[in-house]
Amino acid sequence: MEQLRQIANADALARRWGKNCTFVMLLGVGDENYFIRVQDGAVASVEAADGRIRSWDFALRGAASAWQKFWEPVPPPTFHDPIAMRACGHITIEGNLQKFFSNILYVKRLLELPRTARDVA
Amino acid sequence: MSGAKIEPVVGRYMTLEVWGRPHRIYWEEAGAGVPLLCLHTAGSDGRQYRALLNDGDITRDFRVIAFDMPWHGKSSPPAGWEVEDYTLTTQKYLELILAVSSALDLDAPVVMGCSIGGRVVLHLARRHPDAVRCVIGLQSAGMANPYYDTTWLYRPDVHGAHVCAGMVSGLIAPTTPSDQRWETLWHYMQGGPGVFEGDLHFYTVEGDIMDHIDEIDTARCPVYMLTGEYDFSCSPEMSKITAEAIPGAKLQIMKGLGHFPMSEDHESFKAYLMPVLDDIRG
Repeated sequence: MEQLRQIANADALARRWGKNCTFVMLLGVGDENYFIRVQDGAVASVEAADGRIRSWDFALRGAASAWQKFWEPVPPPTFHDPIAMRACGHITIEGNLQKFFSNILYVKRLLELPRTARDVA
Repeated sequence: MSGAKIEPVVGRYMTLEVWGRPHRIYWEEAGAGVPLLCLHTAGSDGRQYRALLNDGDITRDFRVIAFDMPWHGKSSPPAGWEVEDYTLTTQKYLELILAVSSALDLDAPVVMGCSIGGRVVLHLARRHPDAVRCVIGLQSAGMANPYYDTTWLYRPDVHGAHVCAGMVSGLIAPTTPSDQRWETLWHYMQGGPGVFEGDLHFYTVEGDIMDHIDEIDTARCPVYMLTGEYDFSCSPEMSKITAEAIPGAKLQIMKGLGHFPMSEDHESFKAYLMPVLDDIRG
């Protein structure tokens, strides 16, 4: 997941649409939870959950198999987008939805970046 | 010589009496022959049909016309809009389409609409079958399956351009060329405050036609339907349920396309549209 920070902060789309974005996203991939902290449009840290109580703004959680389909180079219908996955019951989206919707373009770019880099996540 | 590429598309304005008062309506057109009146999606505008308007294979036999609905694109809201909420209904939508068709003196046009346009052409086929030659529903279904609270599209604490584009970006197929994807999103980013949400009132709340879907007579008004496989707002399954309820309707599922076939990937869309247009032309 450390690669995600590097890839995101070098990605032209993420830099463009991340302007002024600040939030903490909890990404749940099966039993693994990751806290992705974004500060002023850059990923400041990506940390695996370690048992400590932590706060986050919004969370996207789904089965590892769902995220694996999402991260295929050409994902199948209903697995190709976070909103599609939520609408079709593959993942949940919860928490402070104002934060989620306010940052939606950047969040979506961040989540799809592993498609372009193998062995990430 | 400048080297500029001048397109054959011409844009004009008309002042049209519709919805009880004058509205300034913008439309673009190209070509000659069978009138093909094109309806854009909720929260966007007629620019979605830019590639169609520029395609000589289509404009050779069809007069392609794409207008911006009031409050959309270059069609301004009416005087007094600043104290009103915009809300689209079935009745208003039908009145608008018939008024534009009449104003342009179109003789039984083919009406092709996408999303909300794909829904309203079903109402058109049911209630005004003799006013049109046939209808083409893109991303067309008789019903909707709301998957989010549309009030998120218009709030002072969420940027409308970001959230409108962000909510529709997933309706575009992942294989879509980047330039066409981002142009499609740009149209959404330029929508007026509350307009996308106002259109969705028709799409998700008021405009369901399933209780009357079997009243469509395809002998009087043929119904063609084209649905992209990546659309989860109007899914292939929803189009299939709709088509099966309309005796004689012809549905084709489009591979590698989503909710905006005409603007997200014209070449892929064209492969599915041309057989329909050939069928109509005879």
